[in-house]
Amino acid sequence: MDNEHMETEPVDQPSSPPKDSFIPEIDSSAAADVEMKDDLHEPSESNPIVSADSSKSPDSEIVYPIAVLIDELKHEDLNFRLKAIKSLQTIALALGPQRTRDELIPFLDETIDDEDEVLLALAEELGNFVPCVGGVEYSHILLRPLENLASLEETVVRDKAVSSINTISQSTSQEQVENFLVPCIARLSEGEWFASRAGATKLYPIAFEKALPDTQTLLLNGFEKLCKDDTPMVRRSAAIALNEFIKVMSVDVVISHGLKFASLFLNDDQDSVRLLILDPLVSIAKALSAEQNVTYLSESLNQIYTDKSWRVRFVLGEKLVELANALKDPSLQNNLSEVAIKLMQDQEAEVRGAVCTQISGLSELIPLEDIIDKLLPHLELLSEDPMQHVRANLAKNITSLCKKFGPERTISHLLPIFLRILKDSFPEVRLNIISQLDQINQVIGIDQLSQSLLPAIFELAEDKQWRVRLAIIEYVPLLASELGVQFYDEKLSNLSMSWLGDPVYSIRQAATVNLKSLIDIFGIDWACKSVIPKIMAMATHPNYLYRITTVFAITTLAPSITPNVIVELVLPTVESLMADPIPNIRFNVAKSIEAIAPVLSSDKSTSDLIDSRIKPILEKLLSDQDRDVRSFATRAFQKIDVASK
Amino acid sequence: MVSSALDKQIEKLLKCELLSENEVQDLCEKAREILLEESNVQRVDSPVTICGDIHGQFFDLKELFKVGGNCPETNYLFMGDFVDRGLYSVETFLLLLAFKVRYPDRVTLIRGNHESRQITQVYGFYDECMRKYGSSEVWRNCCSIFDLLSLAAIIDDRIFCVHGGLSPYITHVDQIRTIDRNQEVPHEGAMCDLLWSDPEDIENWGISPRGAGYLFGENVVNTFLYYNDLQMIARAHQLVMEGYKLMFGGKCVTVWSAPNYCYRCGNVASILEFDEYLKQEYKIFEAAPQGTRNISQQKSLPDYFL
Amino acid sequence: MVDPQEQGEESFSMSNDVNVQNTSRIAAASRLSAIKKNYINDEYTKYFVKRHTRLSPVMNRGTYIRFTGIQSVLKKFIEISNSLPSDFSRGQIISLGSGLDTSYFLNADELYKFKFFEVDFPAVNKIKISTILSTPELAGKFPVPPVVDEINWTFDSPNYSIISGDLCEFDCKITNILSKFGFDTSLPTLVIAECVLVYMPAQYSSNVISWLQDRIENLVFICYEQINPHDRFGKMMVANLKDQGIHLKGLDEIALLQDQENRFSVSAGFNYSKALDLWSFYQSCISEQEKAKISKLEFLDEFEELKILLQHYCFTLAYKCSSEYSHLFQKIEFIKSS
Repeated sequence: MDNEHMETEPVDQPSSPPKDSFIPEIDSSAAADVEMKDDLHEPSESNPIVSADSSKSPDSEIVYPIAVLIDELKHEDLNFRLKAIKSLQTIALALGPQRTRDELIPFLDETIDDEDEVLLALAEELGNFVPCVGGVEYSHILLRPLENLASLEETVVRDKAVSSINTISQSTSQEQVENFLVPCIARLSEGEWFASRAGATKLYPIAFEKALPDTQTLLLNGFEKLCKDDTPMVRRSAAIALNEFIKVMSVDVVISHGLKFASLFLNDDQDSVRLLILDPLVSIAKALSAEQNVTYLSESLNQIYTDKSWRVRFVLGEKLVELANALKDPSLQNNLSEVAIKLMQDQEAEVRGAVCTQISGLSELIPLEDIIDKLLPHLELLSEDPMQHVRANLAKNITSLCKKFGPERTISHLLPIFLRILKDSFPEVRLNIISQLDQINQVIGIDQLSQSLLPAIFELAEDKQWRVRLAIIEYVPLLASELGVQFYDEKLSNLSMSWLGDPVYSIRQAATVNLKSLIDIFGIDWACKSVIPKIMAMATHPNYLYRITTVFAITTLAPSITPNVIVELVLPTVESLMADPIPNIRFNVAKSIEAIAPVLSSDKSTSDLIDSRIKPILEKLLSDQDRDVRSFATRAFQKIDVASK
Repeated sequence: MVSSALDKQIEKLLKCELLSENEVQDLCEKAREILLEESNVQRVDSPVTICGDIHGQFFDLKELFKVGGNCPETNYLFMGDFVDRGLYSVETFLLLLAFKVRYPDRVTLIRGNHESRQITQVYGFYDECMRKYGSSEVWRNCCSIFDLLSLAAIIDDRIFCVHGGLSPYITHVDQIRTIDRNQEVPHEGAMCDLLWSDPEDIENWGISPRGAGYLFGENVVNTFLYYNDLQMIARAHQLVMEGYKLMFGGKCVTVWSAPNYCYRCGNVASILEFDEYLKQEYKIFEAAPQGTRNISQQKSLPDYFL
Repeated sequence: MVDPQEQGEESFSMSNDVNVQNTSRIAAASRLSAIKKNYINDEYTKYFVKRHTRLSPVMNRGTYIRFTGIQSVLKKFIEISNSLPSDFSRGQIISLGSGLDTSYFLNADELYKFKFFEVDFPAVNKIKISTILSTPELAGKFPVPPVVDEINWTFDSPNYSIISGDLCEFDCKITNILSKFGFDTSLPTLVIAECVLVYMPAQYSSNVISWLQDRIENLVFICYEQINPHDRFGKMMVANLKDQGIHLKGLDEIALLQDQENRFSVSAGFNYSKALDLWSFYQSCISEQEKAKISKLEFLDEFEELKILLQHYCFTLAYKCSSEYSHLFQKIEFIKSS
């Protein structure tokens, strides 16, 4: 047998090193498989922090944290380096603002070249560093290291750095913006590497908001250049940033510049840029009045409605209602229902699925007749769409039409579609519509619902997917309460009992809860006749799962059963099960007693049974050979004692 | 004995919340006392539900409980590989361990090949501990518990349960009882084989492509069952796309309990219920639906070749 | 559904697809991970990858098998052409969707008689070309300074050319550029297509294949990509990649090994077409010694997972040739390792 590839020595129990040691805590031979970082940086000699070692420093205690920091940042284990970054604030606190500004920040700026995770943590920490450098008036100091991080290729790091700059800039003065942020944006915007230009785009809105009018003009020009950048990545970032930018523009600037930027993106030859324009368009539409939207946006909208790329149509499909609401103008909105219909027939399934999520919002925008005449035929087609996720989306959303349709039209127009969906071959589709039964019920009433949908629901009660069965069970009490006891006994009773023997635990559990609800609805007499005897009969079943279900049911049902019924029908079963060979049943008997006892003691005629019948059961269980039985019996005993005092 | 602190920890863990380092240490100390008392081959009574690899898939473990029943209502035997690979090894193992401490007679944990210092440093548990706690303390505590886990279990003197399989060094179950299990999983020998071997359609023994343990054939199983008066072998250790796989005319079964393994394989999972007459019922389950898990979409490593 | 023509769907284009373009970075990072664990000997990839990511052993092993499969075909092709008398002179190699692949640099010393072409998106080639130029270890491979066009992102040297474009426009655009750079359809040609055709709708990838097969008499094709999208693992693979924005547009039509082989049909003149999933390739075409060697590099705990992962990738190897080449090209065929 060949074991050479395994590490040669088993690891001994490592002796624990001192808590404050930064020595790797794992035996290094065992840790060989944990990646060693091979491009460890050497501390630079010229660095002020490194050279400020204890011999030169007047206060060696303050230097100590930096030495530790340097050590930790060199640690081969990524997690230690991460930890070091996360303790930067503590170190800054020890150094004080002056030395943090003079030494720590430059050190961080120069020395750190690490893995993305570390840089990400650093970018995040620096965002909260303003108090450490001496408050808002010095916050621009932080721009330097963040500017570097904001020009990195790794998007996550870059975005975090940019967002930290944005956080810091929230509170900076106009002067700081003019003197530090705008130059920083300018440098990033002129950067040779695309990443730096991409990072720059997202800094324009905040700078614009705070800058002097002349600088604002410069910023608009700078941004326009980025909108026309050669690299699609930069244009994509600009398109994303445009959304925030629009929000800080005056209406005039939106019209003079916002529209121009948007139109640049709309005409981009890359669909990955074009698809980002929806959000800015919504923002523009919100900023402008209804008439202005007609004047300025009609053409752009038509262009995006007919975009040849499915990705763009997909985003359009997802944002249709948001866009319609922002547009305000009725004629533009009306146009959108035509667009919706086109998207429902799109050849790309993703697009058809996306537009399904808009049904509810669309139904509020479109007149009923139009929905029936124009939209509905396409929804019918979608219920037979070849792609299951399109049908799943439809199933989740189509019931939102009921309200608008009202009872009659729901029955005549929508029910056939619902029925088809309920019989879908894909469980998620079925589940999606079952979870919306309430919406249907509210409109057409339970009578209609049961007449038309019940057969389909019955089939789902035996669905292979247990979550589908669960959804149906949870619906039974409502059905029963509306349809009455006779209907239940005829049509639902067998089903309800069969769930008690379901192979899935959650279903058995839900089945007992279901029975409790039914007893609450139909009353105790009905329970004594139709439910309790059947449950008690299961206590003699040879398979323990049935017997334990009886115990679970007793525990669940007890609060809904009257004391005398407990005495007559339940207690004998409990007494028989307390000697069950399976300990799980015995300790659940103890648990069930916690539920039964309060019921018995609540009634004078039965309260003395606590001493005569209940306590003897528990006493027997207290001397059980199984420790869990004893433990649960003890607990039950204590509860009864507490209650009686 | 009923510790309300422990119940609170279980409650926390069931919500996938981390315990503090001190709580972990406490829990491990209690677990040590219990596990030291257990033998290498744990005796287990039916009814019991047996489970295969979990691999840190916490939300799928909760799905397992939804199908199989909660602890302590259902008795469980977990056949190892609680950690590594998934995103929640810490929460998964500590939850199972907390159940073990709270209900020692209801839960049996046996050791898998991933319950090892070396393997957990390659396959994620060590990194996860470092990420979540910033130190290796929790990892070390857990590893010392791994060393104490039983190597096998026998249900009602009839069903032999082990993570991997058989060893050429072991013909009688009593030989397992003589192993000093309190150690890191060795690279060879009986203890290693129990945790590493796989059944295969071969005669006798074969070399395992895993580089540890052996492949064992039907005749090996038959001989072992005959010598020890056993009915079947239940084991885990191998991904089975259909959740479980019976071999050798039903004498050996593989049970796999990590659905959509590594969030990538698309497989279903299963658990095996033995009722009080040792009748077998396999329950298939799928990965927890998207909504019930909060996969922190960290920058995920590429897990396909592109 | 509405007829695509009627709706006027734009012709499919991948140059928009950042996610597909990003796959070249992921592929290079995966390779670097395997290099760092000594599965693969490649001192060049590190220059193209900014940061090292540690991947799981199962991924490293898969990367190794992929690398080994492609390199062995490449090496055999070079060997064959080099073994010919000099009047057969040169052969050429074209790598489609080459990304940040280092095959040229790895084999540069053997390629003196060859021309090696690479085709990928400008955005990818920009990174590649800039890296080559700024890295002495790479730039030093070119005694004569290469001609670089930093607008169209092309790179030209006597033995190595990089060309930018969208493979969906292969027959209308790329082939024109190729011929300008000296692509010669009369030469024996090896085409390498690693994880590239599968991103294109099948009609586009078949355009690429048929253009090449119509014009080149002695042609070897080695293709590596995903297969089997319809079983449990495959469905999850398609869904997970979709979540990452990567659509395997061609996979529905070219789903099985048989479909892969049928791409290179006898009726189109191919003498040989064989598709092997990577698991079978690993089992049958990699020697036991080699397997033993790599199994020592890193501990692989689980074979079922490796198996199922590898069963969803395949090599397809096909060739067509004139009779004087047939005994030579036979040597390229997949050989069962003893």
